[in-house]
Amino acid sequence: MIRYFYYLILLNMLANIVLFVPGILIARRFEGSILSVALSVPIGYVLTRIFMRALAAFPGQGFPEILRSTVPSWFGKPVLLLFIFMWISAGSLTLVTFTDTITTFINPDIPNWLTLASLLCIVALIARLSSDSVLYTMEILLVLSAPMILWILYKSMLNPSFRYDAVFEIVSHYRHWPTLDTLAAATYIFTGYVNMIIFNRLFGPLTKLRFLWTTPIVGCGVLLTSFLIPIGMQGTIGVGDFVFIWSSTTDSMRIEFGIVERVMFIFILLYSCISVAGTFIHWHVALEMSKGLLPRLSDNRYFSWITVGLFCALTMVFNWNMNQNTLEAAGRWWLELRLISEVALVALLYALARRKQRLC
Amino acid sequence: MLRRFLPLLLALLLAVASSGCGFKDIDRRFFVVGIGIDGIDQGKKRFRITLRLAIPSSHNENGAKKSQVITQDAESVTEAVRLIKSRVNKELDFGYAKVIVLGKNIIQRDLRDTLDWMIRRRDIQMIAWMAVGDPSAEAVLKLKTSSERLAGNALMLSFGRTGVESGYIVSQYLFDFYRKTRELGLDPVLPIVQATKSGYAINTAVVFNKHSAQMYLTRDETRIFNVTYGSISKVEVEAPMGDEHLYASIDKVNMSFKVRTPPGKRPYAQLKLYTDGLLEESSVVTTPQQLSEYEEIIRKTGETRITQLLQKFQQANLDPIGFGLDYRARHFQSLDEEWRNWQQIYPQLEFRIDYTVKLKNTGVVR
Amino acid sequence: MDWTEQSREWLLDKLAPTEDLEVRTLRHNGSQVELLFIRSICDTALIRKQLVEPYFQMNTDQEYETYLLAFPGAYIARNNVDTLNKMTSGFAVITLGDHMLLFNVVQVKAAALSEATVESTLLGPQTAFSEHIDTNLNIVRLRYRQSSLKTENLEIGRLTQTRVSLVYDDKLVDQGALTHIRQCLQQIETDALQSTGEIHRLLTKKSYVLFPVYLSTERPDRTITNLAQGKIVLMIEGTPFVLLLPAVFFDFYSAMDDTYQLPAVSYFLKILRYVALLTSILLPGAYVALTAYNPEIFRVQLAMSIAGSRASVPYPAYVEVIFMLVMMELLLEASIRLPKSVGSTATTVGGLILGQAATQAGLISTIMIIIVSTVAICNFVVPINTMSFAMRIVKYPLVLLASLFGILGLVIGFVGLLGYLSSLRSFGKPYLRIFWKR
Repeated sequence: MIRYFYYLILLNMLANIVLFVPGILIARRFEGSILSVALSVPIGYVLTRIFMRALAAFPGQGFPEILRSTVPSWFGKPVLLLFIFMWISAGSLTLVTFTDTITTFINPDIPNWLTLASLLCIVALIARLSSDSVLYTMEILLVLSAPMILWILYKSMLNPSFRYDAVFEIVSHYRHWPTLDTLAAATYIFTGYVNMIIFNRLFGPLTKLRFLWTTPIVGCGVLLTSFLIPIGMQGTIGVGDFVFIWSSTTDSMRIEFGIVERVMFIFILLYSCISVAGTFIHWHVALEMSKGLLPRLSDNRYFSWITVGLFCALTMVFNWNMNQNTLEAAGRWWLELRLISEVALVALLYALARRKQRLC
Repeated sequence: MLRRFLPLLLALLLAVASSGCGFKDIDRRFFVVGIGIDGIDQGKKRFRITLRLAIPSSHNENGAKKSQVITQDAESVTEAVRLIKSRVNKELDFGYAKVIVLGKNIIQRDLRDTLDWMIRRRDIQMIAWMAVGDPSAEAVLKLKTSSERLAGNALMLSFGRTGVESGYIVSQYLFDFYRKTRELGLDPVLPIVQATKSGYAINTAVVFNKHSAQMYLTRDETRIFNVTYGSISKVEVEAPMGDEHLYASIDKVNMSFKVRTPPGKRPYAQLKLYTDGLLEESSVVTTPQQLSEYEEIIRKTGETRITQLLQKFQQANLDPIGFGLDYRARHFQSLDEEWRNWQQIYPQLEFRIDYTVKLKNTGVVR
Repeated sequence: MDWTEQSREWLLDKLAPTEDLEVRTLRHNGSQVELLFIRSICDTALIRKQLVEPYFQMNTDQEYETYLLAFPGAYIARNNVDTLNKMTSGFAVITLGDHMLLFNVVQVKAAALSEATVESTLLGPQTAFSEHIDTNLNIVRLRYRQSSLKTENLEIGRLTQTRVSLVYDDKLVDQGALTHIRQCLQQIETDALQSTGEIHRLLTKKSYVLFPVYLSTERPDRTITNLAQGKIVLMIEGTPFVLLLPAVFFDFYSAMDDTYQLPAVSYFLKILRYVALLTSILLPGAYVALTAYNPEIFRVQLAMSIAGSRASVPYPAYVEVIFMLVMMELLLEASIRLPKSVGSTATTVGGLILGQAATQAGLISTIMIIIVSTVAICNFVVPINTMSFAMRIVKYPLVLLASLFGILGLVIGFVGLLGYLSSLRSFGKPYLRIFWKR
């Protein structure tokens, strides 16, 4: 059962490619990205540790229950609303950017909103299921996609066109202090654990997490590969020219003797599984928190349908107003906002846990 | 029961009504297997685009045409493609455009214009092969070799080394070419495909700087460049031995280089080449006991030739091997500073080559 | 309470409550003996002739005992554990005063058994259950000799009053599921009950359920394996199929061959089955999506040959796919109902006419034939029949989605299918959960 916790972390690590992280790091590659990568590893690990220690004080409880039992409702409800918004926006951004990629590379003739609508249907249907069904679906999708993704990363590093001197050149620019947006982007890799605020309901007391030390290592590896592999394939200057960095990078790889020659298609298909998984996890958390926000309304049979329908409608409206430029700006803003809210969440939970343990 | 299925039916109706766009059967598409871009100067028209289309045929039909070549002049590449579309009856699909040939007259112009269309479009593979066509891209694409099973396959096999592996062919992917046009410290090289009456020949290359073609390499220079770049594994080298010649077939080329700038002394680039091979042809009698002598001969000749080629690049201020990038990787200043320093260092660079040859045997006979 | 009383209490405690335990008291001439045996594995005619009738013909217990001990296989009980084992092997226990006698009355009803037709294996037992519930109970009891094996009898069906038996191992079974099943069975209201499929439909109340949540099988070895894992077996009078509950997705994909072959072979076969599953649901949709929307995913030679073979087909790819799949379904349906004498005609019709001639007439492409036959073969790699029907239906929505949205539609459909399967529960057990050890 504990492996689902690690799956949540792994899913976020893999989904970072869709959520602007390589783009932001590469845009500032000469201005301190590599240092923010190095800094994000201890920051992410420390945050994870504090969070899990705090959550161990509330075994089997989700965030709404924790808030209800420790803080008065005039404080708890706005806090819950804020975090619901963060989770909805996480899912929406993932889907909107991914729809962009699909419309550009796979189905250019199908209108943008229709692709998004079809993805929304599936995500909405799955987000409505019970927490354990959602976890099982995510597990299967990860088990199917992660080995292939690892294989693509492995193949790219052994590619004869991969130039290591370009990679070293970027690493040699470490003497530059990082900026907030690269730090926010790099720490996103380690954010998977926050989904535990709802999935904690399925776990027993989480006092011992034996393999948590592997998280910074794997996360660092994922971060470095998602940042440095495009540079190795596209050159230090040329990499900044591309809009869809990873799609163009995987397009430059070739499986000579495979069934499918262009790696880009395999990559996009795998990432559709990952994006859908990431989004339905986020929206499931948002839905459960909404149920905690309005406990009397949530007994209604149609509550989850209406709420999820609301999320979908918000996403469609968001997509309508966005173009490439505003989307990138929105992504950057959202990552910074996310860093702040994540730190706030960890601090809040820690404070509540301390209060509970002092009172008991 | 119908009430339960009502939302599903509605969704289905909506989906069926509004989608299905982009559904185009495979036999309603023309696959473009080769793109050729020539430059012309006819008033406003600047480009001549040649497209080679593959015609699929089922096994039942014999003697059917395998491909069709269409040419169009226009102001820009996009316009030319649109005009070509009006001349064919099926949709053009660029997903299989594996060969892109630039004409000899367009490489004198700014590369950015030419490359822009190919990089910007999503459906042209970044792993397409690039080449320069002599006398023109149109002539190269119009070639039909008799052994070609699929249209356009011959060039693909030559470049891809799945077919022939020759030391004279420089293989360059589209993404690699684009990367090198933008990189500071690495210059692009393209092979030249000569279209003759009986077929094609790929044995020379041309080196570019960031804007246009600069230096044409001869056949021997191309071969030496391939060995130095380390991109091939099978090549033949020849060395003069007194009045006679010695030919060796090399199986493995391992190359690594470092650019060192010791303070106060002249900067140098240290190249380490390790090759492994055996004797292929000799105009004198050879004995296995003299293998080390032969290795020495090949080594000396190789070192001289490589140094000559590298100095030629240096004088033309071109850097196709990538010394500049290596310099940048080993130094920790900012981008502009590093590049300025390199501009001053490169003309003074000394080349030190450490070339190890190992001949396993003298072939099948002594 | 003397020793015999104690042992008797102990035996009853171990064996009861089960409907096939018989406790008979014989009184004659002032003394009484008790007869304990398990009815389904004992020969009642033999008991009547050898045990009951002689008792009433003899005068003393001593005479009776001597009479009984003369038979082969009869002896005085030594200890309780041995007595229990022997009872579950078909012995009858006779309590005489202060000691017990064991008498061999086992009946193996193997004569009426036939070979398994729907589910067969290479190694291992080949027989299947019969249509009489007593025979089936007999087989199960004799192959699973545990005192904790309990049976419960019910009658379902207003008009047919069909006998239904619930069989389970009391020590291993999930008691919650058991009470739930009892409740559900008592709530069933129907006129006639003749097969496990009907019970399956009556137990799952929604009408649009596609995937079977209970496993029906005709093999005793599969039943025994499942009993040993703590499942509940439902036997119905009049059908050789029994229902095993609860069942998860991976039960449908495990064949008995996995345990009978060597480990490496069984892993290979398991992987093969899952590959066949993915092929049968994804291949037709993938063909439509890739040829009509994104042919550049293929290699160029493959695309050329597909385009060449499709050149003579007048209608779009998805019509071709649906047409061929429907023809294949019709062929399969017809082959179930064909009389044996025209069986070979069907093969000829299917193979030659649908395949060869249709291609030459330009109605379908050659690639389509390969795809459809691959899909049909892969469909029947599933060991359990009910699941193979479900998978046959699942591929049509996927083809529809692929024709509407291309390869993305296929991915969406597949993810949706995974989500739906994960949300199913078979008596509280998650239907699709990998790496789960029960």
